Amino acid sequence: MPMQPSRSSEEAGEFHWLTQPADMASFVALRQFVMDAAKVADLSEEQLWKLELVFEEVVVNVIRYAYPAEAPDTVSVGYAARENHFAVQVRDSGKPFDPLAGADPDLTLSIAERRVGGLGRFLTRQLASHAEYARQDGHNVLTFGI
Amino acid sequence: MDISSTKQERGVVVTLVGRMDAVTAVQFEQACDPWIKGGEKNIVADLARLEYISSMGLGSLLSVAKKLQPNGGKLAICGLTGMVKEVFRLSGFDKLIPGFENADAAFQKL
Repeated sequence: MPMQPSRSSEEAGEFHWLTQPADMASFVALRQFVMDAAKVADLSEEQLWKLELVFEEVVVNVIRYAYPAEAPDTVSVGYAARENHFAVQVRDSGKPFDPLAGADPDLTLSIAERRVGGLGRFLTRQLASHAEYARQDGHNVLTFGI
Repeated sequence: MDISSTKQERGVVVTLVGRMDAVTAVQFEQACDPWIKGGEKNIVADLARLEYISSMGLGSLLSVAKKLQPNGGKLAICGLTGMVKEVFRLSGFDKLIPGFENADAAFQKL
């Protein structure tokens, strides 16, 4: 079922979109779609790696957790090269989930105490110039800028 | 990501080249597991030619560090540079996993 991301807001109309099955096989194509556009937009090397990292953290989170294994669905990725930042929006129709909410990991714990997960959200909040979550029309919508 | 490992006198050096992301991070654990099962205590991950790391890559490093602990072993890293260095700093991994200039310096301290 194709999504209609552009009706969510006026701003979203400027986004360029790619929708793929939410699985790891799609991840490389989704990343390429966004990074190819970012490379022709005038981003610095630092902005490019920050974009790539936040994009991976957000999209892999959707791929791994948005849908139950028996009911896979799609993830839509949109980008918009704006005057002063590069904006990305990621949409899924899974159960309501705010990937930005939650406590930061305790960076002082030892190797034995430290959990393997939880860092993606932390890095997203650290590296994005802004990031916001909304639930719109039965979709999780995460928008971030670099 | 290209990955190779070399047994040295005081441990194993695992060299990572390229990108350690959600797709490739598992390769590091796969490269280390046989050494750990074989009783190796100390592993040094040489990251000098690693261009990119995400939280999945950090998770893979942490998993190996955890697996080495029961043997009284340690994971160290060397050659931190560029965005990899910055991500280590942001995530507190620079305090969690000991870092050195190169593998020889790491083995002297492990």
